[in-house]
Amino acid sequence: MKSTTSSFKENVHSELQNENLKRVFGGILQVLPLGRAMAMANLPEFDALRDQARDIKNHTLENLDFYLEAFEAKVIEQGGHVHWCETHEEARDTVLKICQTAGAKTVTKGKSMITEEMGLNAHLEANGIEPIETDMGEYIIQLAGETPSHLIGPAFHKSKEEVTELFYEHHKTQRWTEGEDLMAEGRKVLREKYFAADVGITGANFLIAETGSTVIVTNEGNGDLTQTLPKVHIVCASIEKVVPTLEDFSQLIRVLPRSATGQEITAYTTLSTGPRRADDLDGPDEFHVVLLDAGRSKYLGTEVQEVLRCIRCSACLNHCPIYSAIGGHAYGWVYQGPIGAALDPLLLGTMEAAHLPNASTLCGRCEAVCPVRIPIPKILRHWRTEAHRQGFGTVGERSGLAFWAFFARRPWLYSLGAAWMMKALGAWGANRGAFKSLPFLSGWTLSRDMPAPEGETFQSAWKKAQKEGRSA
Amino acid sequence: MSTSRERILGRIRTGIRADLRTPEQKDVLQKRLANPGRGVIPARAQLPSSESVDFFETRAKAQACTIVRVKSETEAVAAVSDFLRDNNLPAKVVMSPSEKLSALPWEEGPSLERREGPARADDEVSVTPVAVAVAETGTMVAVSGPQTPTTLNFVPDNHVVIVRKSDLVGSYEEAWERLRQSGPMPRTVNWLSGPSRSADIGQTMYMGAHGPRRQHIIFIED
Repeated sequence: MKSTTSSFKENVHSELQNENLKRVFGGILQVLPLGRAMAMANLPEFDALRDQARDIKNHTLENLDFYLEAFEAKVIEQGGHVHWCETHEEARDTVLKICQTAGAKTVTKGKSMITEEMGLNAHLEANGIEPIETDMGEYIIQLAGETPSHLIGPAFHKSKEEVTELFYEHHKTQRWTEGEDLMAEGRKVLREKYFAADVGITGANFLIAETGSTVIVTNEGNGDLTQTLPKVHIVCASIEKVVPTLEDFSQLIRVLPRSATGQEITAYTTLSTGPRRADDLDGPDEFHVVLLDAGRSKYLGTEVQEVLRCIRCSACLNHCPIYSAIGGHAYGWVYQGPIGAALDPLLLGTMEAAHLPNASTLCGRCEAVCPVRIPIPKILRHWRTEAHRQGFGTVGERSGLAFWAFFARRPWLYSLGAAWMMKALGAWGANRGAFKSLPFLSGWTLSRDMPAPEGETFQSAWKKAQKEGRSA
Repeated sequence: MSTSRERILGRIRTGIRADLRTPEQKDVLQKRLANPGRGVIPARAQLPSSESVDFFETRAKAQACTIVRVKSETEAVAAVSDFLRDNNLPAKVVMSPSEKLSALPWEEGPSLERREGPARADDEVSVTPVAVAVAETGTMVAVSGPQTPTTLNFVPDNHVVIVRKSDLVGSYEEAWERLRQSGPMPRTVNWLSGPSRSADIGQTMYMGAHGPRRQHIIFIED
């Protein structure tokens, strides 16, 4: 997928004007955190399971070569194929080749962020193969020619009315206005596609080394029809998805849906292991796993390794004050919200994604709700430092920072300067109470007033209080 | 020339300092894979069997399943017909060609057209057994095999699942233990926890997105 992350600031301005986004997003982003809180309340062991989940992912990353080779051996043992791909290009070419060998005209797809990363749909189309998204949300945005705005609800930015128009435009049946009717129509159209498809492509929430299984977690059942009806099943997964055993998977699955939607478990959790067996009555004849690296391996053993624990639940998006204001599209690439800001620099490059780690107040809610306890604020600070080191920022921003740093490194000068500044601003603003504009601070004052200080700094007020406290 | 596989594994090994891994440590990893340890098992997954059926029922209902508890196989057969009648469905089902189902006394119930085999696009109602059921989240585990085609779980609009009390375990971990005992890993293991659903249209939940709109459990307390 092409990134527009470098134009983040422009993206944000246009998204903030989007009234529809506020209306639609507002509701769902209140429901999801509530669901998570209720699921937590119903499972006293939730925090202990989060510790387990973190430890299992850490253990696997620390021994990733061992578990990937064990997974590969099991897949092969059961008649499947594993394709190791270093780059997005290599991965989409690999998928294309499997489709071409199968003589595929249409392929159905379950929801997969990895194929979004790869830009798979455009590549298949360019080579005469029609990809059909079957997750209802993915299908909607495929019709609209858009990209996902949320990790688990790719079409959360679309209102029902927009879906009505989209379906009418593409299906030419009836202008359905009720949700049930729209769902029934989508179901009917996609039903035919499953039976006609030559290849089914899914993602994977987990890979299990012990058994060579791939796992998908869905509520719709689209991923299951996608991988059961066509002759060929291709799984696209990144290397950090592997976990050691079925028992480890069982720990992680107890925190994934609860963190995501507040469900104790999704309607469908499916393990796929190799192609159909000789005496099976249905299932695919071929089973391929495309294992994607795309920059992940070089961050093992570094300060940002912990971001690779992510299980893509979206809890950090659902709890983020920034994400809920600007939505998913402003981030400009596959992953949005706090995890996008922590992960995109690793996958796109520090400079390309440098705006994202700065779009955070570092309030820490993301870390507080993360099921695998990724220290997202710490990782964002790392990317900020790294981008600055590589020369990120306008001349104004960089010299402003240098100016501030000069004082910040000299506390006595800093408090002297601050005291003088507060006095000056306090005197200047004494009558009006707030400033409508201030030199160098238009970024703040464009949309809100800057309250006038009362003439004293926090440090001096603190000192005074301490003295009074002692004398009292 | 090295392959992508070698280069990816090479970078991983450099990053995690795999060169420092001792033979003893490698042995520990092998053992962890061969003898998986259990982690945290929630209390709700360890209820005494007298309570676990009720818990299973509560969880299944919370996931929008319907469930009826019967005392005998004869009642179970009758319950299939009840479900069809209550939902205005024709007396026609497709069933797993499974001994677990063929052993039921179908001749004692109302007349019912039964076919065995994988699902066809126009099948409306399927009846399947489970490999094991899990009380902790009201989950039913189905596996693919010569007696249990996977399509029956997803293609028909109505899914009737026959669960016996002896199928029920408390936790996911116990379910894996049963599957391991019954042979090698099947191609597909489906955890089924309620009918198909989606909140992708207008952020509102609707049933029957792609799979069954109704999931009806007939629980035999044998």
